[in-house]
Amino acid sequence: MTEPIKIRAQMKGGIADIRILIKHPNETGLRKDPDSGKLIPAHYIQSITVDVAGRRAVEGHTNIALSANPVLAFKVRNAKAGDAVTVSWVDNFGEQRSDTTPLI
Amino acid sequence: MNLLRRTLLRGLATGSALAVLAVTGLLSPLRAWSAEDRLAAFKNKNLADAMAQMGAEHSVESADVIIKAPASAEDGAVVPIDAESHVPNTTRLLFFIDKNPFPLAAAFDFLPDALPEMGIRLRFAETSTIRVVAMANGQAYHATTEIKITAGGCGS
Repeated sequence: MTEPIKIRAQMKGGIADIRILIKHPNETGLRKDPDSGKLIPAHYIQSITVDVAGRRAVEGHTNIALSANPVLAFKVRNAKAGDAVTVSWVDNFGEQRSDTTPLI
Repeated sequence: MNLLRRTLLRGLATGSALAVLAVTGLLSPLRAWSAEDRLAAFKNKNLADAMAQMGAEHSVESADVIIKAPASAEDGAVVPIDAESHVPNTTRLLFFIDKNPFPLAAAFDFLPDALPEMGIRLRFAETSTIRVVAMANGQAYHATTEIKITAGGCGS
């Protein structure tokens, strides 16, 4: 069960300014459930990619140090309004999510 | 054509092909890491070892790597970090949080259209130095800054 990635992609001064909010718990595996007292299993994003107009722009890897519901920002050249911006992630459970929004 | 083939075959036989591979490897702008190496670096608890696994063991301090982050954060679970590299041909940014249980926090590759700068939110277990390493032309350049955490991150 995944939630949509929020993407805001705007042309600013000839450069695509891409802001991303991923809904994900990013559990560290070090935190205890307050009710049961048991450790909550680690559940975190391991890779994030950003494609603009079908071309890979950014490819990143993360671990439990990524905040819950992380916000990320990138800047991409050679883009224009209308280009598709696709953000994808994969976590350590093998869950994945990919969402696309047009650059404005 | 035949001569080239024969030379290559002879090279393989004598082991000089290995030398050729080593040289071409050194000349490539971006050293490739296997997924296994990267996963090992993310699981490494030792800062120096994790840096070495990512090819950043000889990193030199550089004013061309810029970290914008708060000097202190109340909540270690969400610390906004902006980083950028003005080192020409930067292709990768690495984020190490010295005192986290696993110091390597993030590794991002920037393909030619992407500017080598980004914003990210990271978790700090406690007050720590964060070092951002920019990889460019096979060399590593870094900047550091300390962020004081007034409440826990990883355990809370």
